Amino acid sequence: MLKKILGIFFAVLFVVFLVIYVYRAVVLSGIPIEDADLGNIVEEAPPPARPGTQSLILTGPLIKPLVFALNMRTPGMRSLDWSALNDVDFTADVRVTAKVGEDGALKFNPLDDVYCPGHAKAGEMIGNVMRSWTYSPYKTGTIVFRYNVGAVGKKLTIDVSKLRRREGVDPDTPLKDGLLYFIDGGLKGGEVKIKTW
Amino acid sequence: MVFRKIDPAKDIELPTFIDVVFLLLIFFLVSYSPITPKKGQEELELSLPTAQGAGEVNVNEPLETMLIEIVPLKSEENKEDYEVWVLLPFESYSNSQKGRVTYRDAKTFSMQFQRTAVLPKDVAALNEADFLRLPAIQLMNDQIDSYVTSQFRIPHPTNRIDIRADQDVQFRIIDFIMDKCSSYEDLVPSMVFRTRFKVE
Amino acid sequence: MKPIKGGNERRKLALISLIDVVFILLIFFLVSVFFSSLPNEERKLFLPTPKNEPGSAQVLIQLIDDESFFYIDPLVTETLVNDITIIDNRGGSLAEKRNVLLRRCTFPMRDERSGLNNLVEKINGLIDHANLHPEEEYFVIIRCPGELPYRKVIELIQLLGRATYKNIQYGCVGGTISDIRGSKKIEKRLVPEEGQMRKNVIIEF
Repeated sequence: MLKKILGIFFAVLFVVFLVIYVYRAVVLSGIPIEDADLGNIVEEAPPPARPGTQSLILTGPLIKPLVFALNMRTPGMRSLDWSALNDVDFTADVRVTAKVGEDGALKFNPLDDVYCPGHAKAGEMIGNVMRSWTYSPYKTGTIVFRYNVGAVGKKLTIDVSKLRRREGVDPDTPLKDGLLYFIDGGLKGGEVKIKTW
Repeated sequence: MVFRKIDPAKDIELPTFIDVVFLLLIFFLVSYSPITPKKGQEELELSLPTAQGAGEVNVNEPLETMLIEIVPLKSEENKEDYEVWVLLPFESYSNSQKGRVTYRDAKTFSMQFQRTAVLPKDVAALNEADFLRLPAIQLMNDQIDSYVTSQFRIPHPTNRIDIRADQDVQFRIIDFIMDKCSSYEDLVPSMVFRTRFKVE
Repeated sequence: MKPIKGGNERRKLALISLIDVVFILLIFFLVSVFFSSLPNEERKLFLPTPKNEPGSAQVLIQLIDDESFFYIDPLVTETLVNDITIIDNRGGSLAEKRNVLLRRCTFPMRDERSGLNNLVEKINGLIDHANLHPEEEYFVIIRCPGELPYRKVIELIQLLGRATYKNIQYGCVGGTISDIRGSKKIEKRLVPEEGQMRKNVIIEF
């Protein structure tokens, strides 16, 4: 029985190969002999690019844009717990005017720069967290945060219009803004406004 | 005990016979050495046609396109110089539709129609005008002109000119041929160098 | 009983010699593959002819002589752009840029310490890079002065052809280091590309 099956199997295989071979012969007979030789086609692949003689344009590597954002690797950086802030003071309206230093650290005076009339507790909470924030060292200048917990719509406004490219950062490399705040729990992306002008 | 009688003629089996034939074949293959390794080889493991270059080519190879050969001159007094051969894949321009000719025939035709000239070994010191006045340069100039204008009508990747040159030929010569080709814009997009490579 | 047994033995014997033949065939093919790769046959090396237009390339190899060469790759280009920016901002001259260019990019052929061929090492580095980034295409322009044997160029091309994904293309033009030394213009040009920036250096002769 097994012999028979094997016999049939090989017979079928043989017939298939025979058919393929005959088909190939028919196809090849239809084209000129030079084209039938695959080696020729491979050999004569066109050289796609040709060098120019007049001058030289040397292309450098693609430079990825620099991203000005919070440096998440900063040790001891804490996030602001939005729901906790909500619990502390759900009408809090706090404005923090801070400076981004040469090293990217966020600097402000907790007494003068945190403006929070009537919401001292929330102001303290925000100030404590924000003191631990550090940015990538590409921009310096004044950055203003306004936390309006009770607002409908934009609850956080960040004004970056006073930030300037730090001296020493390559002027030709594009510089983009990345994540500028580190807030957990409850604040949606749509509730944040970044003011650039 | 029963002994079977062995018939020697009957016992030479086909597989054993094939076995022996293949063994012989392998023996001859391995004992045949097509190249003798040279002492003090170049570190880049590459060899271009050298003084003996012309002797090693396949003379029966049909030429596909114009072949410019720059080989050392054979005569004794000018051993330092090269001779340039312009080989055409047909007998002459008037007879260009007749079909390909072999390397050997092309060489004969080139001799017959004087498509060969002597080229000094050192052309670096020549100024541009003197360089262009060299007979070999003029020969290549005229022949490339005739060949390209008569054979290449439209730009095509297979339009090319073959070069087989001694490895010490100065780049100025090659540069001249390349410039000549590029003066036809896209008509001759590439050249082919015939080389011999050593494989590590 | 006996004739049947004898028949079996004969069949076994035939099978063994068949296996033998198969092995010999295997060896034959192995050896023939080895022989087919031997260089007794002439190979064809394609080289694009130059065009009369500005030559754009990622890598420039300017052969000078047996002692030294001039080499620019994308990393060098990036540094050059920064150098040019600094010189431009200072209001520096063309001569200053030429000096920076020549100083940065001229290398001795042989490394004094290791004794290695610097150019070969640079090309090997380029090939390694190309093998790591098969999606990228590189174009190398080799400029060769007329007095050098053309074998120098062919050797380089042979090396460049070793890139696994064949993503290094090359072209060759005639030219000397004095073209670069006497260049009429050295400029940086910034080309935005897919939200990123490409910094190019332009050398006009």
